[in-house]
Amino acid sequence: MKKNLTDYDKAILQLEKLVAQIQNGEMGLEEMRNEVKAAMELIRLCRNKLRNIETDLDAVMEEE
Amino acid sequence: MTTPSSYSLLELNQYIRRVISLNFDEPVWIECEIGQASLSRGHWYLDLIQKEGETIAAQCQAAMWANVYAYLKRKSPIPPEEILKQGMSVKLKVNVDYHERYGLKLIIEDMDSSFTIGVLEMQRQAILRAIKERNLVRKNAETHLPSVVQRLAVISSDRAAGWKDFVKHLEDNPFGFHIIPSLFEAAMQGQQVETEILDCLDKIEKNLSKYDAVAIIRGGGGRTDLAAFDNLKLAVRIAEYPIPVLIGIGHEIDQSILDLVAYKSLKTPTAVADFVIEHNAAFENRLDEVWKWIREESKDRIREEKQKVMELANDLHHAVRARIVLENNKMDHLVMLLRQSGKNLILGHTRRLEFIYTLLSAIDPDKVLARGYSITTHKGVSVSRAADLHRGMNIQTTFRDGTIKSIVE
Repeated sequence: MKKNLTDYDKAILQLEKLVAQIQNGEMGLEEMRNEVKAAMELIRLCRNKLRNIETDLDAVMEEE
Repeated sequence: MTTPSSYSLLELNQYIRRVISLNFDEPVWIECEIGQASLSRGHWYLDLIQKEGETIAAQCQAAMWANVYAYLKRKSPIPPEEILKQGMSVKLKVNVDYHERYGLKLIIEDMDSSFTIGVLEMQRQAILRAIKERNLVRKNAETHLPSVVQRLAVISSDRAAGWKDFVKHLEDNPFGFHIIPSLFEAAMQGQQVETEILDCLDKIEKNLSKYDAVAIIRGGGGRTDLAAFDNLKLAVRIAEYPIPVLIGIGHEIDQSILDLVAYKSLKTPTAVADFVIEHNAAFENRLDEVWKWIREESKDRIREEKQKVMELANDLHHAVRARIVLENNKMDHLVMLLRQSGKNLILGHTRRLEFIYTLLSAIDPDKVLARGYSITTHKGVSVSRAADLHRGMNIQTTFRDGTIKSIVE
């Protein structure tokens, strides 16, 4: 079955790639500053998304 | 005595009666089939027949008085009323009785119930062989019973107690399942069983999508009642029926042929209802288990993803810290290099200066005079060669401790 990546999955892949790039020294400092700022926003979004999914699932499961 | 030219009817019948009495002075055993049977005020009245193919070849009325019936009821292994039914093969001990007014009648004195059971069993065994030869045993069980059975086509008689019990049992199920039985009426005993049940199965098949399964049910019956269900046409139809057929025809000991070919055979209508209810309950249990699994899996997944995001945030933090430290180190190294190169530069210049100083020191005139040398000048210009001087020139010679003037000779 072909798996369609969700925004969440894409965000996780992007973060993993960014960490690897920083670790491998493949990125300039100025670029890193901008990328890390964007990454922190992505992490915040991912956490929010997980929290929302958990709340939704809890609500659905409570109905049973 | 002279023979009269004609008899009166009474004389003829009296004659027939005498002939019969003389020839049948003792009861005889006969084998035949019951064409019709009725009970009136404790006495049984029967139409006995013998068929050749589908044609009735012989027919006679018979009666079983109440006292004989009571006697048979005591001695027979199965109740005589189960045998005294249309279509049953019987072996009877009869007195041949002729009455001038009422005609010929057979008065039953005894009945061999083992003969009837034997005939039924032989018929049953023949059908059983045919079923096995055609590989129809449990054939209907190959059909698919839906996970939830809600729409039941029920073949029964609305007069049968079994139908009412069945409906009540379904309605009172403890799980609150909504199961809808639709009644298709058919005779549940006697010779009409075959054609009426086949008709019902045809009607149901025309609207097959409306039903999940068929149930053929009836309340309790005797051993010979079951004979109508030992029927090859019915067995073949049920075996090859496209949806599951559940059988509950109310018997405790024997299996009918239909039980062998059906999807499921149960002893009573309520047992069929229980089967359907438990089948649905099993599905509900499976649903509950799947639901629990989904709940646990989704919680685990959320937990894993939270951990993953946390680890990613940590990795990012560490990677950034490591990179910053690396860059700081680079910077420190650069500063150090800069400092070092500055110092080296200054040292080089200092050395160069000192070298120049040394050089300069070597040619300082005061230092040359101090070493015992003197400097001669003519008109303020230093004279380094004697050839540059001529007689009469005024020259000036400077020593460490003073200057003298002189004239060249």
